Amino acid sequence: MESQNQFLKALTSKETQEVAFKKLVVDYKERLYWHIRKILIDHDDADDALQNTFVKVYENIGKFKGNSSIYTWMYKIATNEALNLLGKKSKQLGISNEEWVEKKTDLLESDVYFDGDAMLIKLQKAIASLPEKQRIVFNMRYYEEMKYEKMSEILGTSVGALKASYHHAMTKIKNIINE
Amino acid sequence: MSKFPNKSPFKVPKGYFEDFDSRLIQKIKNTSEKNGFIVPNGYFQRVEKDILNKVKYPNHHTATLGSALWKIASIIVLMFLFYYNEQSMVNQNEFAEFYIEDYLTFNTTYEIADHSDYSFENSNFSNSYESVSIDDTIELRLYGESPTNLNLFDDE
Repeated sequence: MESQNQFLKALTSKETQEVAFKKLVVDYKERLYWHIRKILIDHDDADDALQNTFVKVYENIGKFKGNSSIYTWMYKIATNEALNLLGKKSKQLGISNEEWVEKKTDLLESDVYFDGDAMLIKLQKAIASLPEKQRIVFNMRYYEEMKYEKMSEILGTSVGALKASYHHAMTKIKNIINE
Repeated sequence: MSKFPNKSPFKVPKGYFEDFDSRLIQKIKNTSEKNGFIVPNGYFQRVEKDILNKVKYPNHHTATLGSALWKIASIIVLMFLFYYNEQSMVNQNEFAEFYIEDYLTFNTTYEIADHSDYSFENSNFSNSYESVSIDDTIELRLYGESPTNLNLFDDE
């Protein structure tokens, strides 16, 4: 925590913030990208959301209270940015967020930035068929192996509800794969 | 053939089918760590530059000759404006003094009184004789009026 406080000081001090912010980008860009990418599916959209995330982090670093880890706080911003972009995109087409994700997943076979076989595409389609919250919970738990307590901090949902969401998601995915 | 039962001789480990789904998903996870999604070559280097270019850091630049000249010029302009303002204040004061002096010299007390809301009847004129001009006293004497407390010429 002490090292985080020192890092926060470096981020808010005029003399050191440029170097500190660069370190933040270098350390977290990949982890945040993959989190965003799983929500948005499309690389270009993920790129937009990632850049917006870091710009928001920079603009709001002074408001960060330090109650959680900076990574958790950034993760929260990244999730919001991804969901906001998803909302905008689906609204433009007059469809729901879930429909938009399914549409994007259907295009994975021809996506140059997707390198998976038929089984992986089937898995992605199964994940895409989940309700939004379940999909996010499934990705965070299954791929990122995040602890429920941390997920609870980021998503603002109780640990019990998250466990239930994950269980429902897993059951649905198994059923789809076994079809 | 009848002596060969149609029961398959092959066996599976205990509970094989029960956790088949989980193992299958685990296998998929292991075969593709990033679940199939990939990024363009050199993307993470490029995005780092893009992000850092988007952020506007506050200026903490060193003073250049140009900026120093601008500062000096600004100070000179401010000093000139301050001096000019002071001068015009002095001129205004001088003008006001001249105007009052002129006004008192060329107007009689009655005229001055007429110009103001000040009423002789309601005021204690005799106690404010210092404000009466010399011309007034001359005028008063010419018309035979003798305000008791106007003792300006008592010494004559």
